[in-house]
Amino acid sequence: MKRVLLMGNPNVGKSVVFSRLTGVNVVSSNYPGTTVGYTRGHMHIGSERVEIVDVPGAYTLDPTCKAEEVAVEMLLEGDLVMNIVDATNLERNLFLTLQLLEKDIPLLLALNIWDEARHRGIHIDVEKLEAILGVPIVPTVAVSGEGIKELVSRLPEARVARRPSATSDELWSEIGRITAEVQTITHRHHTWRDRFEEASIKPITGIPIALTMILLVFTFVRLVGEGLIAYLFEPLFHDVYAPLLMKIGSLLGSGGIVHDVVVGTLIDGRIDFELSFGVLSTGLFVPLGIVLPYVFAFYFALGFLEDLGYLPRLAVLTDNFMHRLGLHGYAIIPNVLGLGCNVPGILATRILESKRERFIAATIMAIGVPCAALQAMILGLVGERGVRYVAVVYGTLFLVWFLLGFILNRVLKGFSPEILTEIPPYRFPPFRILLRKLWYRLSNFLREAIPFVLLGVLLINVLFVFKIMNAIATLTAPVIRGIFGLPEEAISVLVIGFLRKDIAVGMLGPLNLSTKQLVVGTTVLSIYFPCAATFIILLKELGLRGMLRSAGIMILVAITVGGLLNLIL
Amino acid sequence: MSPTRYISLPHLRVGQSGTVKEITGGSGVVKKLTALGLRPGQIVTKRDSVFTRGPVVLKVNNTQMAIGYGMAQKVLVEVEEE
Repeated sequence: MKRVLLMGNPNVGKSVVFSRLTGVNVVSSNYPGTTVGYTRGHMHIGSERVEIVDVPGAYTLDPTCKAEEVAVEMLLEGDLVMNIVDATNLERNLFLTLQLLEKDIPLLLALNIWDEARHRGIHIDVEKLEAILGVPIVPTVAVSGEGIKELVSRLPEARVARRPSATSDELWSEIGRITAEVQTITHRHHTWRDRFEEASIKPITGIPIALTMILLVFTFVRLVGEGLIAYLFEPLFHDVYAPLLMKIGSLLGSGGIVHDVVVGTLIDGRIDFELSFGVLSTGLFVPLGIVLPYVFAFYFALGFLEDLGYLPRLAVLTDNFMHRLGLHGYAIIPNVLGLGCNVPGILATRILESKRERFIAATIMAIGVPCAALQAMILGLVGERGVRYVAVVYGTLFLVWFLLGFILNRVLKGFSPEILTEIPPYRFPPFRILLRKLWYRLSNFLREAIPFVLLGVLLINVLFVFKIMNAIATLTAPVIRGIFGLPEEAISVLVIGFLRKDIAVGMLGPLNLSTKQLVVGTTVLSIYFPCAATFIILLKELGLRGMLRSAGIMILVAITVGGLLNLIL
Repeated sequence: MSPTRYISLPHLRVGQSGTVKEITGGSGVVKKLTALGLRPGQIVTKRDSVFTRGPVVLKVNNTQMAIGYGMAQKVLVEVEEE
């Protein structure tokens, strides 16, 4: 089977072309470095099944970061390269193209973002460029699908150009000659977009804009999340699902071990979705009824900011600040992604240059950046006691995140490299693309969350039935009660927290904790250890030693912070 | 010909343009900057800078980019005297 590699500079739309060709959803955004691993998909050309690989973006085949290393490795395994080129940036993009043309692999070129090039008064003579490069070239607009059909139909024409290898200086002067011959640029007036672009980087206007954005996103997530719960999910669960579950319960005898595990303990003869703790009651209610609405709202807002192109601006603004943590501004992007789920957040640290940076970024994220599922539970549970307690939890986590980065930067050998990033123009995302990305992320969330939460609830029941939890509780009482000031039963919460944080926070509810205990409990739970999925990613990205170091730091920080909070509050 | 002087990127005024003459950093820095299109002979325009030695925002051709302060110091440009 043939393998087609989608290659090109970062942020030229490779992932959008990939989705168009294969129908496989991958996350695309408007900033360089969205794709850090590769995704495979398939398409049929005539009767032939062809594999398409979405390769991370690279400016050069002479790798300068981990994502580019992945790209160079992939090149050895492909049969054909579909080189995606940003038509608004022909000169810079041609560098990689010329390097690719030196390789012994057939190539076809897509001049993507063609609409924007036209709009900006950039004219490229496609026929002339074809003649110079010796490979087929098709103008495309991947977000709307323009030109994709032609791109596919011309795939068989892809050719090996076999250019003699040249030094980078020679390549650049060649590129200068080529662009002078094929490209003409006509003047264009400033637009509102240019002004907003400038305003969001200039600190005087940029910082207020950033703070407003954060406030807007937070308000949006809360309003939409709470609205969905109050008007959609609670009625669904209480009025539609509960009666059904009661029927199932009566079939199981309305009591006994099996009933209590599957349906949950009846409270005043009824199912209480937060307290019953049956696999089918609380086990489904937590991921669907509490967490999903917030995850939906968060990913909608994040997707919009990503596709607009706001995140690289945030990176420039926060660069100074992030240097105090041993990182540069671009590291803010993985951390923002971590607010959705730490797994893609930690994966995104691959855009950082050094191992040291990746260790710091991944560790402070796993400790101080609560994922959307955890945040939903914090908002729900702690929020009932008052907004200022939510602020205490968030404030503590932020402080820990900052101080830990600050200390790691001092303690670890090495230095933090400087930011160097392209800032893409603002692009208004088509609604259809936003929805696709949202759907992709939500289905991923459901696939990962539901099995783990159900398993978690089952495990809790088993541990209680066999009184294993009591034994662990007695064993860990000095730490739990002595340091954190929590009741012994809270250990079950920490045990389940290894599996998933949202269900663990949910378990704090039935413990009748004081507000102080609740604040300590949720904070410790956020810090002390990553959930199973994050744990696996940490192991993969940092290696066994890095992961162990990171985990050790987490436990140490959790004990210190939990103890301090218990003393101060 | 008008007299010329070389200055580093952070010393460029916002809105001012210059021709890149030399990148004094090691080969790693040169490689990264070159990959983004910043290389001798190119005309750069400073779009903005963040105070207290923050990144410098530039436009080269059609690419807008942000460069850390230290790296920006290594890029020398020629500016024509007004």
